[in-house]
Amino acid sequence: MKSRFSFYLLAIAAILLCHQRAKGQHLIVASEIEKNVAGLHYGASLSIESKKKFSVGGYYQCGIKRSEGGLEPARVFYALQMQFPLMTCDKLAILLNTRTGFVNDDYLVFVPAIITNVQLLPALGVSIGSGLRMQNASLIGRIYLTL
Amino acid sequence: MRTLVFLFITTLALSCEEAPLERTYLIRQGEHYATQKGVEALQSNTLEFYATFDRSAMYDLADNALQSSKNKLMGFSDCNSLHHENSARFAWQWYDGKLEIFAYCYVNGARIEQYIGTVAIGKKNKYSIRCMREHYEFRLNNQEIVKIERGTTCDKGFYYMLWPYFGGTAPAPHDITILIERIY
Repeated sequence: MKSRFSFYLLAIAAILLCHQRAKGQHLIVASEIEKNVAGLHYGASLSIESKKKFSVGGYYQCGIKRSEGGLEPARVFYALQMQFPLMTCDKLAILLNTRTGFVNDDYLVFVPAIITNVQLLPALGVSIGSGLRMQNASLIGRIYLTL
Repeated sequence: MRTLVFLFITTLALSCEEAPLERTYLIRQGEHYATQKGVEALQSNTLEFYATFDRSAMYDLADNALQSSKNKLMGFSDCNSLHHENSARFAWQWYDGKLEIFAYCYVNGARIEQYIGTVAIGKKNKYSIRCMREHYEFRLNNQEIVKIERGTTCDKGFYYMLWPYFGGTAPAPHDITILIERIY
């Protein structure tokens, strides 16, 4: 519970700090699916992105497992997500994405990934990328809204 | 633009194939560490895997003390500790014509070894270590759980994975291969 509270606090603080420092930034809401060695995981993030495509925000992800009581979340992952531009052009951006946080409340993990953002509409885009999760490659697909 | 995106995603999706979860860990003659290793954080309170030893696990070091020193199979360091401070691993040794499996822990710097059972060469066996609040639970296949006290009171932090290692003090007398399949 404490870690969830810290996560939300961190995410809000990051967004507020960035909001004060940067001009011309956007809020990005994203929904994603990641296929990694442990199966499919579903996630969402809220981040703030600068004009130069740097971004920081909060991230949540979980898998789904069957138990006697039905379906329940597995490998719940709260993280601070950061993105750094590697190459950008008009509607395409290649980014280094990092997620640093806790899985199952206690286990600190760092997940790097290379993501390609494609801006389909002024407020809508998709991303596809590959990360390194549990010493194996993962495939990431994401849809995002620019607010 | 949309066609380009569609083609990009399709190509990427088609080029992906399932990565094998089995890995062969090779400890070369004269070495301690296996060739396949890397930094990985444990992401759950349970580490589970299948391991299969082949005939390379049979060795003779011609010294009883060396022969009975434990080779490490797999495990993890405990929360924010170095593995010689707090860790939990499975260990193995070829002794008296048998492949013996042990729980091998460091608890606040003190080493604890406990015999779990024997396994057959060429047979796939299931190993699991569960990290509970006060103790570790070691289980080999469906055998009785072996409990070993846990030293650290820390919960939140970095638990790094520990990979196959030969020794003790003596290095591998010949190439040793162990097939390990992680269960996620």
